[in-house]
Amino acid sequence: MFMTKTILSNLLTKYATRMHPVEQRILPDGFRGRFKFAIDKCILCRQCVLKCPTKVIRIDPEVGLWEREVMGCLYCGVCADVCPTGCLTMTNVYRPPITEPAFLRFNVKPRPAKKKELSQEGEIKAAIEAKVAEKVEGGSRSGKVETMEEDAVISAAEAKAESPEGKKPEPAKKGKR
Amino acid sequence: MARTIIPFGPQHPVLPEPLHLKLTLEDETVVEAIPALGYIHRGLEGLARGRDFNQMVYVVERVCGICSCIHALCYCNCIEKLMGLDVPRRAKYLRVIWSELHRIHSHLLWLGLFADAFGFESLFMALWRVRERVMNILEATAGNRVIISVNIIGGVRRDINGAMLQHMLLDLDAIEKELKPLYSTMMNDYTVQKRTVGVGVLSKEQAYALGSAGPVLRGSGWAQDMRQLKYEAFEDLDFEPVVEHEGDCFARNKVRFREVFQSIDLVREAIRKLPDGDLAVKVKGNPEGEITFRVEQPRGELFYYVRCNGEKNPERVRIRTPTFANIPPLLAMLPGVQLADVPVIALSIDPCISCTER
Repeated sequence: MFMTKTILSNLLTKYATRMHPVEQRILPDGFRGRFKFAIDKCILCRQCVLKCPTKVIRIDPEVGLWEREVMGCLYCGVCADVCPTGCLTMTNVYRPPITEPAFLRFNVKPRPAKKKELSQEGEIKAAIEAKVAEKVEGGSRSGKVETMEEDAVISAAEAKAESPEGKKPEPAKKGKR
Repeated sequence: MARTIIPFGPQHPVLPEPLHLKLTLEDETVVEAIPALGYIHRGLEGLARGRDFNQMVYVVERVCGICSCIHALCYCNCIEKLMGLDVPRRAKYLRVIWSELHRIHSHLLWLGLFADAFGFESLFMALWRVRERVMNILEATAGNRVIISVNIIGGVRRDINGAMLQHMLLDLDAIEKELKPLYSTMMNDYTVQKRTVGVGVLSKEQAYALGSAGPVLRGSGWAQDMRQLKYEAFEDLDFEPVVEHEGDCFARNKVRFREVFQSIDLVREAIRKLPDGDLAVKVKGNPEGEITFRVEQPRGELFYYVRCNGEKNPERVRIRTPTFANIPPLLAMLPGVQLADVPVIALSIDPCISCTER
């Protein structure tokens, strides 16, 4: 007899589950989802490399390479927190699982030569001023800020790796760990 | 009567994690139980030497998925005490809110698994449906469902705004309302009582002598909870440990269910008293010296020992988890019980093997 109440309340309430592919879940704004890159803003400061708990980000300032091993990423969001220029941000878009190791690579404009390598003092000043001006402009080097979503970048990077004349600075093999 | 050895686990329908027990049986009665651990050792303590003290927060969170926030809280407290950091009061309150939410969802997960262990599947599903509300709160406030990564050395990473706090209060009311009928089912249903009352009794003296921790200890009549040490914001909150005296599976079950209601009250109180202020202080330099710290995990007392020598990387991080403390009491409970009761008893200590083996 005591079951009647439960049965009635269950009949009168909605399902606790959701018809998944038809009805999508609304993710909260603060959800740590897919990364968004505005790679033109990257100044190769290496903050993300130093703070990453799993050490999966690699930067080569001389050739201008920003690389992340996608499978090793924890999505803790520390790199997005420490990025000084807002190049790395997190969106609340759901991140689907991937099935094999992949590398996310970006070509960034290489850093100007180090201060001590410049011979004249004037050159140093000019270099610093140029850098400051760049930052004030909004961090954009080529004039337009390119933002890309992760999956588009992964497929683009893969396509580049496969093409023979791809100008990739580091021909690291996919799946290398 | 000839003796038989039955392996229980590491793969067993009732176990969420690979605990292996070699059970010596006489007929259907257990005579002796020998545990075998080491199926999911990952060497996280050793990783401390390869990560700096800030990165280590995210490593210790991965020691245990289900109480990740509290592991990070304990580790952050160690480093903050070594460096003499004064954590802002708002950060302390936010840490309490998140760790108590973690306790609620961990206990609801366990209660569901426990209901499943004695074959009450609809109760299992009803409890996990309520748990999903807590997970939604965690996801909305911290960004992830389980490993929320909000603690950093010197404070917290995220703030909870006023609108979200109001929403949380409403959600907590709904959770409490939905849990009340489930509590009366768990306490009064005769099928639950048949499977748990008088099963796996641990006397008060045994519980103390074998060094058990958490709900196992409190289910046997000892009022010992690490939150009595007044770490973080617990110094300002009303807190009395939940104690039951029977020492059987039913008492441990009751302790955990009552702790869920207690945690809901603690979160409400923390939200009411939440002060304004900064979220974190700036960290400069490297920690030096050695320290121990204890906090209360959902499963019991969690103990950290950290030694640093003024360099970036901690020299040694030692973690003693509550399940490790609760395995000797489990072995004391098992002799003399029927084989069919072993799953219920093994689950009643809330075994978290990935914690134990790190």
